[in-house]
Amino acid sequence: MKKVLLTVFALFIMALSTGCWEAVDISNQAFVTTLAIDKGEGNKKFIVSTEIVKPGMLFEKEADGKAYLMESAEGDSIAEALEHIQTRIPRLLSLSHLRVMLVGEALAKDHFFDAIEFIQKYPEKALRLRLMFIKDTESRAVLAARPAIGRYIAEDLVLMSRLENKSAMMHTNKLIDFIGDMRSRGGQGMGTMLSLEEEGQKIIYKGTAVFDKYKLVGWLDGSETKAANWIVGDGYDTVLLNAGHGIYAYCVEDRNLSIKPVWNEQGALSFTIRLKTDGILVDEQGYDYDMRRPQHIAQVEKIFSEEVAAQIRSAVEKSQKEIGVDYLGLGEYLYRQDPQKFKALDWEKVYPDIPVNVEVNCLITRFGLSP
Amino acid sequence: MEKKTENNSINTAKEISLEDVRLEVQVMEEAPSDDQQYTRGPKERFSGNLNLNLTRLGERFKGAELKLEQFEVGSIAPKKVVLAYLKERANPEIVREIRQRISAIRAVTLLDISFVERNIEDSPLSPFPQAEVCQRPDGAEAALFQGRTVILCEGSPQALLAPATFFDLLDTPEDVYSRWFLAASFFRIARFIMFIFAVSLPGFYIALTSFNTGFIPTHLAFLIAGSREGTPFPVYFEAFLIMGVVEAVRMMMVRLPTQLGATIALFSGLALIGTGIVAKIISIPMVIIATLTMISSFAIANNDLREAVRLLQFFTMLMTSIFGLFGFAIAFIYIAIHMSVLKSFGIAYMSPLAPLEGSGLGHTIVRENTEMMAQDETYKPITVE
Amino acid sequence: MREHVKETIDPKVIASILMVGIVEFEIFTIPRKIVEVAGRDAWLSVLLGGVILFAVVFMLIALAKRFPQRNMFEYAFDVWGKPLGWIIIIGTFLYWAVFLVMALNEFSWINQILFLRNVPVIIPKLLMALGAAALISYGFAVLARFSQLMLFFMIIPFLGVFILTLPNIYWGNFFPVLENGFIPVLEGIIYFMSIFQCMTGIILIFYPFFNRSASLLKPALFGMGVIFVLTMLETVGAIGVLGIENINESAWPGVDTITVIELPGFPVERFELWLTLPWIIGIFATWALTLYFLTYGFTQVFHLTAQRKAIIYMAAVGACFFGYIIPNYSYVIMIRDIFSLSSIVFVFILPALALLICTLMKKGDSRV
Repeated sequence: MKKVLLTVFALFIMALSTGCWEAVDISNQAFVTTLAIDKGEGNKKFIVSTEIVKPGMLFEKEADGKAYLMESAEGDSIAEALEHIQTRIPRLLSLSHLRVMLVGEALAKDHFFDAIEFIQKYPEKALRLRLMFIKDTESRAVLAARPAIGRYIAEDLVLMSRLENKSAMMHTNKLIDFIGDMRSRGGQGMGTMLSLEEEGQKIIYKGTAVFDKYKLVGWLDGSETKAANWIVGDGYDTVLLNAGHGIYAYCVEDRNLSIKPVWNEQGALSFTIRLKTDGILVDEQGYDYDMRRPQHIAQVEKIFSEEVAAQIRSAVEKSQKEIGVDYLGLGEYLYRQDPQKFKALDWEKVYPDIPVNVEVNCLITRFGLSP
Repeated sequence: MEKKTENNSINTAKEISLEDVRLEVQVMEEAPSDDQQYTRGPKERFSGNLNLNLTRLGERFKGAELKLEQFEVGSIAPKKVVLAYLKERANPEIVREIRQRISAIRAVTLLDISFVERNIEDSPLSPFPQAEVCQRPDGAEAALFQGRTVILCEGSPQALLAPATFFDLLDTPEDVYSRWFLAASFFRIARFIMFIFAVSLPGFYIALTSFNTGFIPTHLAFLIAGSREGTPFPVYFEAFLIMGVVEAVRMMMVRLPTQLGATIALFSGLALIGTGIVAKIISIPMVIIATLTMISSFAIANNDLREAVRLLQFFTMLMTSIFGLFGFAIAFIYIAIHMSVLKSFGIAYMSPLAPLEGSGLGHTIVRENTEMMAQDETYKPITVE
Repeated sequence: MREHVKETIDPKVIASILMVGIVEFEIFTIPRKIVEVAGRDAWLSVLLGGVILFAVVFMLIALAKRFPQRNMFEYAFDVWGKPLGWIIIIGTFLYWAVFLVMALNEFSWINQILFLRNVPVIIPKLLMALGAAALISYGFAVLARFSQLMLFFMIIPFLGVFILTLPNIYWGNFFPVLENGFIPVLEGIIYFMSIFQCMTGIILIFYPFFNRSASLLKPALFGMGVIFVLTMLETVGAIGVLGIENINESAWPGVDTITVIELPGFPVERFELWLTLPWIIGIFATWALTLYFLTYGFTQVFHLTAQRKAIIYMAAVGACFFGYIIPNYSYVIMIRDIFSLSSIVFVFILPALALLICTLMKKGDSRV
């Protein structure tokens, strides 16, 4: 018994004497939930702004109290800027609850990928954090906006990004998918776009940022994003169209997309995009068609198919002619089919002139929510 | 770890028969000295009278071959100790081992059966009890049919069932007697989870809140941090404080097992926690954790095991206060090592899980719908170490 | 002298020993190693490697069957002859010793990143090493029980989590198949095989401990099958979820794969971190097993059975301090590459040669 007590005592003393007390209490940590990165104004590369949640404020009942603190600092690396921010916060900065990263337009057009790589290597991060790009302004302006429902910006942004399957006007992807796309396509890809309205007070989650060679090259607005989402998205989408004497709305529930590179006998390349959708007719304001008659359904299906095909064509055209970047990832399909032929092509040069055939088949399985 | 049995037996066994002890008098109903309440099953309990206890046991074995061996243990005031087993069920190696260990007890006298227990256990140092204390003749009967032995001591209203595995200790009569086996299995698995909670919850809370805050879901982390705002003590100190308070209240209840005691405990507990929270001396999440731990620990039916769990709880708290989650993993591994080393009279303590015996799982991990008395390979080992 | 095991152990136990003993932190890093050489065809490497693996299990059991009452140290001299036998035995000891030092070093390094930043590395190392020494000083029976107990806390979480990744897989990441031909796939197999360094020891040393050794084959195949499925799920998950570009950038693709999954409404948002607990158990079990092989073989070959306990503790503490010899991490990577290659020799080539010699020269205690 004495031996046991002695051993326990010795172990206890050993543990205490080695200075292993590195516990940092949860209430002594400052959690960064959003990291907003902008281009440095002076000779530094970045301006890093952080949204630091004040947990005590989350409980207060005031209607418009912001439960967070915003701090910015400059630095050539994010680590340097964070060090500067730490000097102003009396608690230990922690990135373990970083949920959102924002990048301003000026930086996105320049060297933002250095910042991304820092985050990817940072051990505390979770790769499901979201990356968003801010149109027209600096990303720190978002932190000055008013959260719509939550008490801090990241809360709202994360909730919004989870609506990706419910709204076709936005394009959203996880950081890791974004990086993966960029790396495998030589810096081409699509990112999430945010914009500010009402004098910078309201955050709008709509649109897409388009990248080429690891730099921002253009934006897609809401309807262009909707069109592009027929190819890259996977979720609900509603098509409105004006047929005859009224508006008809078709809500896509299930879709099946196939993209095939086709070589004709002369060796010329073209793409065939086939889309088959299943959905409900949610709105029928006109009286030209009687949905109880199969022929009329077929007619409406045809009109919708043409409308969707037109949208897809416009998305391809935007990508090929206006921006000239394969952000829709058609090259990927060719590469998967035949890597040797893909490598033989100078894809960037060839891409804008490749003909694309679109075949759409919209099916209406049900109509109207009430008989 | 295993006890070396000396060959020089001090107390010799004498075989007795039930006829010797059967009381002619009508067995009178005593007020059962019970520490637990059950909804189903016989209400009969052992009493302090050895002969009466043996008679009660014997009444349940009309015709069956119940072997009784009687020892006189104690040099100054010898007490009778009776070892009972079923000849065709019990493993002779285990019986011989227990017989040897009882006969090797050097004692002045035996105050209670616990003095037998501590003298014949494999490892008195271990936090886990290696014999089961039982008050119910029906429990003893079930143990006999499983092939275990029952040890009774003069003057003690409890019987010792040996060997006992971890799963025997977590077993309750409700599991056996309740009608629907699926419900019984559900509650039994819930009890295992509660056992793990009782050992690890406060330690885990310390590790998560003072070392790896990234493990906590974001919103929960902010809620915890927010409600800890303004409290003076670090998490680990608070944890030790509140768990200490829980122990104090429990001890008070044991000392005052009356209506008055319950009222005082309720009042003092509520007053302490309530004022502590209002004055921001203690934080709310810690109170939740402490209460949850306490509730979980009371899911364990066996009193000795429950005490062990409380101390293990402090062990994990200490390890996590120093080493965080790594300390938690190390504490878990150390406890697991001890559990795989430990044996109860030659039976691996964690059997039938380790070593795995499929036939035994049906009435340890879950309870299957047995029509017959459950019997398995667990208590039929090849040899005794 | 061989350890005398009083209890006879059921052959089924070998499945749990194999599973617990082989799975260690490599389960998180192996996709990167294979993807580095084989690209998106890494799953083919794993598939083909699995076939070879099962063949090796057959081979090891066949070798052990020839000497049913003896372990590999006892018949090493019979098979190889005196001088060659000594060289091989000493080489095997060195191989295990290097593994002990390296694994502990790597463990403490990861531990520093994930858990304890300021604590001197020697303390977590000692805690692990002393626990392992205490476990194996009780002998094989306790080790077997420990492995069965840990099985539930280790393999089931791993399997569950990897299955969770399946719906997140983007199957397009697997095409085109065999872009660079078959050679990289074959190279990938070598890396795949290097994670099985404990397998030979488990089968060839523990064989005489089992009571019905003849029926050892099925449980051994089952155990290896589970590990194979685990590795396959993990590799497929990593390629399908992360894509090969991200795998090459990631330190632990196994962990990163899980950080991507988002379960809507699921309360634990960072549940990948919970895997660190089974991971610590895994590395502990592997380390303890290797320590057992080394000390057990050492005491048996040099007839030091009486001092076995002391030797176990000395080896455990020694392994902690030998880590200080390695100056920085680039040496670690260098040694690990050499180690991976020598794994092939010690785990596969030597037993294969031994079996060949036995068959040709008709050596062995029992005719098979």
